[in-house]
Amino acid sequence: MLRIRFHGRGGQGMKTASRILGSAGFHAGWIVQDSPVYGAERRGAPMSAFTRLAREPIRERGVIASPDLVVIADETLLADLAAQPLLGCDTRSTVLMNTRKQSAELSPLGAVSREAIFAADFTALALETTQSLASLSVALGVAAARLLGLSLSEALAGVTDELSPHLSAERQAKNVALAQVAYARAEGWPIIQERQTTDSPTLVTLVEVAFDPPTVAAPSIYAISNSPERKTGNWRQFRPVLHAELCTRCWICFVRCPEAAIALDAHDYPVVDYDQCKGCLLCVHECPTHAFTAEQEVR
Amino acid sequence: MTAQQLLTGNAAAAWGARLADADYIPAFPITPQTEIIELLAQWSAHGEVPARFVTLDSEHSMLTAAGAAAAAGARVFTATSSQGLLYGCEVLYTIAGWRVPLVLVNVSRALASPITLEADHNDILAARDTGFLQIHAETCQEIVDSILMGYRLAEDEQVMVPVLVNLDGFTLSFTREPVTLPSPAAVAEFLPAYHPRHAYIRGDKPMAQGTAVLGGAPYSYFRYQQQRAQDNALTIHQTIAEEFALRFGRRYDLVESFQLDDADYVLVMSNAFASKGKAMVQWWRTQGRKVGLLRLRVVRPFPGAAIAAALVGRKAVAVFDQNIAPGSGGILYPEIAAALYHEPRRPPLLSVIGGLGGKDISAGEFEAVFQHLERIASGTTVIGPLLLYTQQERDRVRTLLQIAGKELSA
Ligand code: SF4
Ligand code: SF4
Repeated sequence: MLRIRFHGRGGQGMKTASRILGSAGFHAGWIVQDSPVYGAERRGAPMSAFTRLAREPIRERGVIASPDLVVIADETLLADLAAQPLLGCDTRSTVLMNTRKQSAELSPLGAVSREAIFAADFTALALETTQSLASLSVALGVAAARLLGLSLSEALAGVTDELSPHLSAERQAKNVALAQVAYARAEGWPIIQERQTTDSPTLVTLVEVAFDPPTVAAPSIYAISNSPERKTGNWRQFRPVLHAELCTRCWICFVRCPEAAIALDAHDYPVVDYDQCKGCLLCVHECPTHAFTAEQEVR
Repeated sequence: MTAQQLLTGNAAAAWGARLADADYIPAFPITPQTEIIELLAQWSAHGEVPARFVTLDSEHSMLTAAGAAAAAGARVFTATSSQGLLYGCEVLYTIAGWRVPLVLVNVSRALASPITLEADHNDILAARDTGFLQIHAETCQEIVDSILMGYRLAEDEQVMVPVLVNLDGFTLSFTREPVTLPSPAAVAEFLPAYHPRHAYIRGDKPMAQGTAVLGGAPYSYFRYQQQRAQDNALTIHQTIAEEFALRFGRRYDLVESFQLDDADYVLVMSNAFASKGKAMVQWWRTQGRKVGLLRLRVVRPFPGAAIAAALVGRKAVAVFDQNIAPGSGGILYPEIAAALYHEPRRPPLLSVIGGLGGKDISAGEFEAVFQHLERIASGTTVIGPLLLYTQQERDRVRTLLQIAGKELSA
């Protein structure tokens, strides 16, 4: 069995990427299982998705604890305790990373060997080819398919299955073009082989749950306003930038920002708190005078 | 028969309703079930499903509408989950008492509080005494098949009670796997149109349904009829299962035996995590350990005889409850113990509670369960239940409690 784990942020398309890979594998004759996990759906929050390809009926379910391939859509997830994309990786695991850096520039990734880390700027690839960040799912799904030895036509069949039928013919064509480019990008990389042996289960220690007083055991939170400490600024792929000369101080952005990341300065102009702004770009879309523009983050 | 395709459990459930040619679909959304009614709404809007699709203001209204439509003679499909099932629970008793057939899908999601999204079975098992039959599915294929079998069972004159089909949230609802959809023509042969004989609306034949009775004797009679109908369902299910297997090539019994023939040790599991149990059984077999698995599929009526037959004479049996009845323990454990009580060769039993709120059950935890089974087989009494909760998980929870501002003792 081949086990692939995708890590991304809500909105980066990793659920779709896992389905593109699943569908591609299915076209290639594999037995397939794919599934996402996310909490309360929230744009920008870490999420993961799993794809399994096997020759026998798949009896595993849910999370993949020891992945053969980990696909990371967003480098900032490496430092995120809620994501931990390298969990369970060992010397047999491969990492496919979406980053502006070259493989050699990346710091070591857990137990994963240097030769098994493949990096490319799939975001740039997607923007160049389709002018849409939503296509990251296509780029990473197809690159993963190539890493697992699926053919270009199988990968393309997977993409075609998963592209929304509501996309215009032009956008469909652009996504197919992107799939070809992404596949070519991954072509020099070695193909991941199925593990020949099943690992012995890692022994765990079960512990008793003893009585705790309700001050501990009831699901209440006493810590006052600790949510600002969860900085959501690194969720951003695009940063809203204000052009004050266009701003009429109507406050629409101030009211609409779902993170309350916009304050008003002494002259009633909006000020973005970039520590908290998660880059949903609602302000960009809502501003009646187009005083906000979206600029890609460079990390 | 058509080729396989990748479907989520939710899509499989929607396909079950579509293939069953339901007449009426009352709906109300709730995560992780919503995709089922979204698909049906879409199909209905595009004329691909002739059913009347109606959105209601709550699960209570939805289930009332479902029962009323079934009492008017329509074939009814509806779906809910978790809090929604509990909110509508009053109506479940009512319509089971009306003796009207319908299929209700529940997508298991653990109950509040604390509120969460992933699966355990306290929701579906809270409905265990409602009078509904219950079929618990392990795979996406089994969801479609159980809905079709469910209608046959519900509409059988020997049974005539509604059916709940259960599937786990996330591990099935959002999980795609290969599913073979039978052709509509083949389904129509297996499941012909419903011709109600006791509950319908017709201008020339007025009737009152679900009447009040006072004095205990009439009540006792009507209530015990539900027991009799469930008794019948045990036999009728097997007839339907045989016919289904002949037509579609897939066999579903009341319980499923996996590697049981020579098994010394048995895990009793249900729903999607039973797959994980089977994977462990396969691993143990490669290590020369004789372990098997008994999967509970039809939970109402409770197939006590089939369970006892599968478990007598084993060295030790672990009953997994992915649920908890605070103050008692696992919900299924006492039912299984009761089924074995009169068997002279009853095995020692271990009660295991695991997978609450969708918590994973790791291979290491299965291994720990196996060690307990060996101990009780050699005569050590294990005072249960055994909660699957690891040291690592405890540490993580302690960190969360600290972040929440709780004062923890060392
Ligand atoms: S992008 Fe705009 S609306 Fe969204 S969080 Fe940032 S400031 Fe708020
Ligand atoms: S919505 Fe636009 S115009 Fe209005 S305050 Fe915000 S930036 Fe200024």
